[in-house]
Amino acid sequence: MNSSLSQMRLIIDGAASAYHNMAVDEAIAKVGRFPTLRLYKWSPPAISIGYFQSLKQEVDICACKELGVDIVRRITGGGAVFHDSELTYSIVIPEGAVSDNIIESYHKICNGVILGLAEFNIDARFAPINDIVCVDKKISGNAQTRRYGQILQHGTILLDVDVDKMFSVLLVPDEKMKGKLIKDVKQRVTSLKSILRREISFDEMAPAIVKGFSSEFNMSFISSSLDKEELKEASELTKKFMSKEWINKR
Amino acid sequence: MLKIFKAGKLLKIEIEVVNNSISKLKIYGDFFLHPEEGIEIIEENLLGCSYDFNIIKQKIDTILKQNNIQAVGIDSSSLAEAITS
Repeated sequence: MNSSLSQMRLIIDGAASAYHNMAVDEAIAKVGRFPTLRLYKWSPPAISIGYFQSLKQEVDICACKELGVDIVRRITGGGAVFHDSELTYSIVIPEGAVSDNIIESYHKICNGVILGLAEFNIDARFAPINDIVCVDKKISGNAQTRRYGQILQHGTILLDVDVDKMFSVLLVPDEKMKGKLIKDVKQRVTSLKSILRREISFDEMAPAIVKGFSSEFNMSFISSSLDKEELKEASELTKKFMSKEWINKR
Repeated sequence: MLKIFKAGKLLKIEIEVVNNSISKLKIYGDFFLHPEEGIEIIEENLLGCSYDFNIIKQKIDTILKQNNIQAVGIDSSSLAEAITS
């Protein structure tokens, strides 16, 4: 049985480091006091790898250091993501608020983003397991974890994408095929700038995403920020995400 | 030995087999498991397992069921195939 949400906290954050961003997402889930939608940005640019990925197989650590790109391991599965010009969302809701079926729950939550994109007349659709596509090109990747009695799902919405820059920090299985792979990815990935044929900022996109989630979940938002306990938890968790032990976990 | 296997999601396997049983195993990829700690449970419980597709698949099914682990983007079949390919 799904319990209904009528109200949710909204946090619109500025740009922060990869470690802080991941720590705040987990802190909100860990404290679990308020169902929350959070929108945020990344500075400096960063690679986040999924829980199950091997750091040394996926990331060119030297290149990241040279280019000032941070590297963080997520608590969620999924692939390696390059965070630069994007609007990132995270949603924390109690287990039971959406389906126990993981893919169904991805679909429900991604619908919030899809309705938000529709505010700009962008016709996007859910591509299971965890993607949002526009005309068969990926515009959003999403990842979910269920812990602390909560569902935490976070995802990217690409405002702009630089595939060459992405591949300057990611490793590929076969270096000889890198050129072809880059060409392939350029065909399969898109951004709001590409679709709308103009620059679009985080500030312009954010209200649309809020509206999308409001419609999908049929509820209102109250703007707020982290409480004392969440701030303390986030501070502790930032240390975890920065630790060699965590980043080298696999 | 590193193997790369494309199922629903990508799987990368590092494995050592001694006397036809698994002596070392690491499973990497862009899949999802709930709970995520299930990956360590799977890896640990496959140590000593005979290096045989059917035996490994059955063992994984048991591990998933006994530990209430939900796999998304992979299943016991694709995992066993990646391990034994």
